[in-house]
Amino acid sequence: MFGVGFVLALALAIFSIGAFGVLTRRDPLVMFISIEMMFNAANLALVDLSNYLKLVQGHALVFFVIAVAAAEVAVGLGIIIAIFRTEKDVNVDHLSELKG
Amino acid sequence: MGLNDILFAIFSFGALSSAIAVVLTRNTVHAALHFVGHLLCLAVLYCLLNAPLLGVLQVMVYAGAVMVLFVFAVMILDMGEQEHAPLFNSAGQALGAGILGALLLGLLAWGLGRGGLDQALAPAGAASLPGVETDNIAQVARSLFREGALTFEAVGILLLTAVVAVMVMAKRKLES
Amino acid sequence: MGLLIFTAAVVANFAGMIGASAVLGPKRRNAVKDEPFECGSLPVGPNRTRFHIRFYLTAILFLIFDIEVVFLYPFITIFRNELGLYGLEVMGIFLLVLIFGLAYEWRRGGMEWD
Repeated sequence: MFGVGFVLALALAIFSIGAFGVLTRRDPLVMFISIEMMFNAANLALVDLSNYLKLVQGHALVFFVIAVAAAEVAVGLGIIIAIFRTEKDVNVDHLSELKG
Repeated sequence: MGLNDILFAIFSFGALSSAIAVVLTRNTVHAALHFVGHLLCLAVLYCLLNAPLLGVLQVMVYAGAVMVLFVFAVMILDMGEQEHAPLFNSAGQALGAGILGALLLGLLAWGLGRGGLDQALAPAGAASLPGVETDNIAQVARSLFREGALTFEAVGILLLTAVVAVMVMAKRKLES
Repeated sequence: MGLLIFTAAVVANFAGMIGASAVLGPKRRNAVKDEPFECGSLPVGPNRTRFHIRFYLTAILFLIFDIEVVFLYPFITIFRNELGLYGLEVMGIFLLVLIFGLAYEWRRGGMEWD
């Protein structure tokens, strides 16, 4: 009843919700969480398809995606903290110093 | 309507609703906690999809280390005064982003539907091949270290880059 | 079937504990009881202190080396019988790269806590 297509549709929905969150929210941490949600949606699609095709290469790729996402979180959160640590109002729209 | 289907229904509904809650909640700590719930629902879905190693990995690394990092970042950034900030910049922007998100969803669904996967016959969670379920760790290990050995080394260098970058940023903050 | 019974037992236990304490506990609220606890003295000053960056640094180092350990878990299941010297080389290069990271972090004082 809940076949391959259902889980793929769920992964698509989670991806779109994450994309909506990145585009809309002004809080840098929630934007970052939405990016992580997009990573997770891709992982879910990979696991579902490797279950359908009975291959484990999908699982290995999920391993790598999780490692890359974790390294990215480490560096990205460091940057966010370095920028916003002394700000009172945390809003990404205030980052306009590089604007010509 | 076996146990598999019931668990599938419960946890996919949980994953979807916590994903929506992450995007729509005003408080940052609440968003992080909803995301932890989302990760745990996804971990259960991985286990239901014959990937128990990935379910455990998701809980250990993602929900266990990455989300701890997020919560630390929330506490460091001192977000106590965000309660009366507007959730979206303007209603028009939220509507535009919603339309774009719906278009993205439609485009991806159309692209996947062309592959015929919506009529796929293999039910999720069926361990129909002998040895698929019990040998999962060894199979993943074989795929990781024989075919993906080069990618594995590249991930090692990526982690080294992350350590160096974090040390540079942190030591500058500590000394300043 | 056993899993279903186990799940039902877990849910019943959890709901029972929370429900029983919500129903059976006394509810006599008082303005004094709702204040934050400060060992007898009155609360003074703002309740948000600035976190030191060392907490964050420790958590990041834990994350990086946790990923390294997680790559070790499937490796050890097939290392003994199948991978042999080739596996030793592959994992050895990976661990060597991360040992360089550990040495760098150690020398830069990332593990000092004072």
